[in-house]
Amino acid sequence: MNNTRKLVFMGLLVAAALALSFVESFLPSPVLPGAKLGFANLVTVAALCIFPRTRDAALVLVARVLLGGVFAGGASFLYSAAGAALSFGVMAFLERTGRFGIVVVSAAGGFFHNFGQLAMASAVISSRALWSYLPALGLAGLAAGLLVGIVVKGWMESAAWKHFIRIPDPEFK
Amino acid sequence: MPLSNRKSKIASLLLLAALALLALAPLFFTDGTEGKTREAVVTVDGKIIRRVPLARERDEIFTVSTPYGENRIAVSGGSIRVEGADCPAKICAKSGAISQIGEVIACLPHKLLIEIKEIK
Ligand SMILES: [Zn+2]
Repeated sequence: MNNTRKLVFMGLLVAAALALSFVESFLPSPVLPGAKLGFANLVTVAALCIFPRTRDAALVLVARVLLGGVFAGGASFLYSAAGAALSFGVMAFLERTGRFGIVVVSAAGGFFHNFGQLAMASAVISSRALWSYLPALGLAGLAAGLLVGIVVKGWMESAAWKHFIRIPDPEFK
Repeated sequence: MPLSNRKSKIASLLLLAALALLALAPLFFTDGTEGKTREAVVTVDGKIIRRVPLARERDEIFTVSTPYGENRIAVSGGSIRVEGADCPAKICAKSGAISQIGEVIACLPHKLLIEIKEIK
């Protein structure tokens, strides 16, 4: 993948993530009011699949969290940043081990997305009481991550996508 | 990244099971709530502001002023809820009433927490 192509992909992924976050902000949270299930994670999982280097996927994530913070504003930035950072760290590590498929990596990412948000919220509010939300939030994150993983797996395996990313770059003609 | 789970099914299942177990861990630390006398503990920034016994016949409304804003809290019929607040998203007020030991209402912008505990 050449640099221009990579940059275009990154831009598209960031835009898609922001659109997903925007849509998600209208959905009521089923568990902890204010907590998000993390469907914007779909883009991070896809980025881990598309870019050979982890740092390119990390760049997409950082851009998404920073821009998302500009749009959403204020306090929720802290929680989404903590969730995103922990989730990404875990997913990048699990991917490196080479033992896990994309669906499982994504499920773990979904779990730690919510785990990180809860940890940050507990730190902000100086209390351990919020951990009583962990069963509901943790399982919801696991389920959302599984779903995201299955979608991304289908996406990466689709014939149209495989054809699309193999279009030769013009300069190699 | 490999696109299928063929690499290690056992490791994958173990990982998923471990995460599910971790999620459920807090449940092992909570015990039943039947017949216990309960109180609501209101904290701001981790410091206890007020303790309210949740006896059935007790109804009251009070306002907690934090350095970050105000929450109006209502106690009635053995349960407690945030009736109104000047935080941006009003998530605390939308949380509804709580009455069982271990249940929590949080107002993150005001760093306010209402927690149901057993009176020992
Ligand atoms: Zn509030």
